[in-house]
Amino acid sequence: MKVGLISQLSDQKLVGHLVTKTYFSGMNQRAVFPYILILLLGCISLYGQRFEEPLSARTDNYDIQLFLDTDKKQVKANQTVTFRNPSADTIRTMPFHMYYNAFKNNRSNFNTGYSGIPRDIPQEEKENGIWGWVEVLSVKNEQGEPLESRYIQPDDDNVNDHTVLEVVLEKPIPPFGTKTLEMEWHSQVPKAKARTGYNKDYFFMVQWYPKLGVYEPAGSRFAEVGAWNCHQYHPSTEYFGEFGVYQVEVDVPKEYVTGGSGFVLNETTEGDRKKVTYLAEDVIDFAWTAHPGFLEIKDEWKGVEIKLLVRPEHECNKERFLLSAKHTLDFFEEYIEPYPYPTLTIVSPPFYGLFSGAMEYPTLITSPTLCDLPLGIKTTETLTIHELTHQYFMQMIATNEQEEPWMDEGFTSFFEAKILDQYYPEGVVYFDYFDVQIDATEFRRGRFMATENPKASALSDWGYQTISRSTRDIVYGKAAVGLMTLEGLVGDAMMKDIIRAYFKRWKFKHPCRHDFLDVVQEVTTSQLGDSLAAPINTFLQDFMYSTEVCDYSVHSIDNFEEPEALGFFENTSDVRLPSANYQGIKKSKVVVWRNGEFIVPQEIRVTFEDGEEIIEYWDGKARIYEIFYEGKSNVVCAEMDPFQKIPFDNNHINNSQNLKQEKSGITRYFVSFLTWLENAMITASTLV
Amino acid sequence: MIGAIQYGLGQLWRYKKVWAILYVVTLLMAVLVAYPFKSYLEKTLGNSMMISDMLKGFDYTLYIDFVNNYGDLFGTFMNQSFWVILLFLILFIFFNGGMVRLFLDRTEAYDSRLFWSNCAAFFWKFFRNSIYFLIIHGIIFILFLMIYSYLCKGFSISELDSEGIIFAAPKYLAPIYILVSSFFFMWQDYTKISLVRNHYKWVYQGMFDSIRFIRRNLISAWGLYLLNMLLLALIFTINYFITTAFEIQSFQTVVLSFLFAQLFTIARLGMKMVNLSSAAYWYTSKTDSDESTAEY
Repeated sequence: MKVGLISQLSDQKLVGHLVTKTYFSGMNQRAVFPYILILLLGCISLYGQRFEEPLSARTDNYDIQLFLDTDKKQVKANQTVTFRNPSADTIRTMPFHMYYNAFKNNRSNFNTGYSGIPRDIPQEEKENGIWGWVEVLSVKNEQGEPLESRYIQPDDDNVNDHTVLEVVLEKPIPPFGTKTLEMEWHSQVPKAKARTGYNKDYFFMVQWYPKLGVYEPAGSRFAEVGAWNCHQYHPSTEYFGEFGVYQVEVDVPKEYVTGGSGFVLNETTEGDRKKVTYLAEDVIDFAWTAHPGFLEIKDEWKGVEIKLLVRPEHECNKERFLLSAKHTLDFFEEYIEPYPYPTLTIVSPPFYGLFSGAMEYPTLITSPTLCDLPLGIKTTETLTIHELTHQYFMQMIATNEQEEPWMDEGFTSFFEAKILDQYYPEGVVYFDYFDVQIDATEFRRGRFMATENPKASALSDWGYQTISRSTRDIVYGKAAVGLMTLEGLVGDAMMKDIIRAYFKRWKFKHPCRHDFLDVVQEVTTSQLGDSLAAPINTFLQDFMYSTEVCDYSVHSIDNFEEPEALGFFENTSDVRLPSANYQGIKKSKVVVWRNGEFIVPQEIRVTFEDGEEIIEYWDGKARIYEIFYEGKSNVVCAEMDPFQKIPFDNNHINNSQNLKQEKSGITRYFVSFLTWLENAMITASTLV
Repeated sequence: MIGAIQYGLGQLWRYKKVWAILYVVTLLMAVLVAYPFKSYLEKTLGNSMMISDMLKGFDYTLYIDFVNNYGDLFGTFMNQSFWVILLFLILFIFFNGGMVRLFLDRTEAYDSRLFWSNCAAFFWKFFRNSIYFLIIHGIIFILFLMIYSYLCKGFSISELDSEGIIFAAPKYLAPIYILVSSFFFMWQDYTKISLVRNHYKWVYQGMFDSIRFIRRNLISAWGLYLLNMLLLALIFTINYFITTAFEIQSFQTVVLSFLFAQLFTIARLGMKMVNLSSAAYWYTSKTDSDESTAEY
């Protein structure tokens, strides 16, 4: 178990002045009453058929009956949406995400973003295949009266973007009141678009229905007044949903194997069609899939039914899916709390369904694999673990992925690496022949460090507004590496306390970054005290709001004897001259530098010629920091962050200096390069 | 065929000086690029304690941090490697003339004058020969790539039913490609032999003569070539087992791995000579017997 850098400081004197700051203590000001009320309302929910007590407030509830036309690739559906006003506000409109309209034309925000329509798509396909849309045919209130609706653009003035539909209510929803809408809609399923759509006989149905936005009462997240949070569909980010219960009846040809969020409530066959009814409770979304080529493999983990939908050619990898899923569930049972849902569906898409990617939806994840994936490449395991981890960070802790994508992807990537390193110590990439062995933590760090522009955006930047090739690496990698560094600073045990406290407080709710910072501050302050918690909070502030890099280095090691005092001292008549038997005091100086703007407390291990080792602590603030020793044997080497607690440092090579060059490693690389070149020359000579 | 290979091995030992020349040239040219690379590593990483991680093998963190912070010259070394390989090819074309002459003349011992003079004499003919056959090898390679692409429906994710074909096709295509391309590599070698033996003025004359020879002795000539390839495969297999048998953990093991690598390099160069000398032997013995049959 790693002991935190900062927690070790409780016995040490910090070099430099540490300032204690309290950030974002607004948590206490937020209204908690509505949540309690909603929770109570949820307890008497009509929908609860599996959980004895609702896990969430169940604000948005859906009852959908749909018909999938597999020839025309169209869906016809009726849906009933019941919304419970979670606030003391009076609500006059209800906005719905119409995600499929992102594929309606080439002027939508999605298609004008970097994932636009490729130019080489044939005209015939443009006319018949690639466009997708969803259209609401009617919206009625409880009395059956039609309601007006219109497309709105909350994020910009792009009138060609029809991804948000606003329903205007004839009667406002009173504080803590309920509203039920009856909607009839139909849609054209897009061909193989981002995560969703169809290809051949494979349907992956996500972001497929008119989905109500999230109403944020004043004081929750960044809301100063109560308002809907319903962004347009942007290409760079994912989604945000409200907790509720979904009952979805899927009508498909009977040869299709289906999978969906939640569990199967009922299944009937009539002629050449079948109807499968799913019930998903306390979830923020509903996803489903249909494909005649799926094999259904069932397994179980402590009462949770695990269903793997996989093609026959991928069945060879079933143990890789199932084992990694069970490892993840085991991990979180111990680290946070057991997986609460009765089912987990893993969809391994066919090769021609790779557009559905590796993606997370409530109780349903996709995890692609390949027939001949070598055991030394843990892609199947990595994707399964990553997407399953999202059940905790995205589904149960339902952060806003459009605004703060790092809050689900960063936490998930952090845990993905932890789980992989715990259960697959051989590494995520390993080849004996080339002596390649890369563990998950260093792989995740490497992907961030190798990104094109690590300063492209800060984690606090709104996700949907940042479009850069490096954004993904920042959202996943920087966030994960930052959390790894936080763990290095506070230690494994305190990190677990922080995550547990964060989860306990915010599960089945919608926290934002301030809420996480509050928890870290509370836990660190209570366990370490104000002064030691302060550098942790400084680090978190930099980590979240800054784009600067972290780089510390050992600049020099100097061993010398103090020179004899020569010249005039007391007066100008008695000069001190060199004495024959002068023996100076042995001194050593280690100089370390802070090269980046990022400030992180540091440990420095100094090793002396006689084998003695001293660990020095430094607050990491000064640009140059010198450590002096007197009367000791010579310093032979100095190493910053010797226990690798700060993966955020972007150059580990300059973290240490050794006065005695150990050249074996370089000789090895020299030999390898030389041999490679010799072989390349001989191989090439076959041509002549 | 076994006799031809035995003969080739005998020739290799007899002309071990040529073998040594080839090895020294290979080593020196590799050192030409690798040594500055070593100096560069020493300058950038020399005093870092991460060097100990390098000893264990590939270190991803070290690689990433090196490329990010000191990687500017990395591309230069790769570029240099390319030009060194190109230079080596030209030198190898040069050496081919001398080697073939020695193998055809079967002098008692290595004749330095004969070797170097024929290196120079046949350089341009062999150079042109290499260009022609590079085009042929290129066409064969592209043809197989096209077949592979066709089988995999242009590697289109949306068109393929399963990715299985992408992995399965090479299992069948690669052996066929090796078999087919080996025929053209063999033709190239016999063209060199024919050019030296018959003193043809034009390369195409050698190409026609050698293809006539191959047509008359298809099975034996191709069989001999494949047998030589089998021997090379054996050397690769032995090298694989040796290199994976021990872990590099100290300077001593680094030296040991270097020695094994050099043995492998020497063996590969030796096999190139065995291949050429056994083909020369086969060519002369077959054409001589054909001529004597014709005389009777």
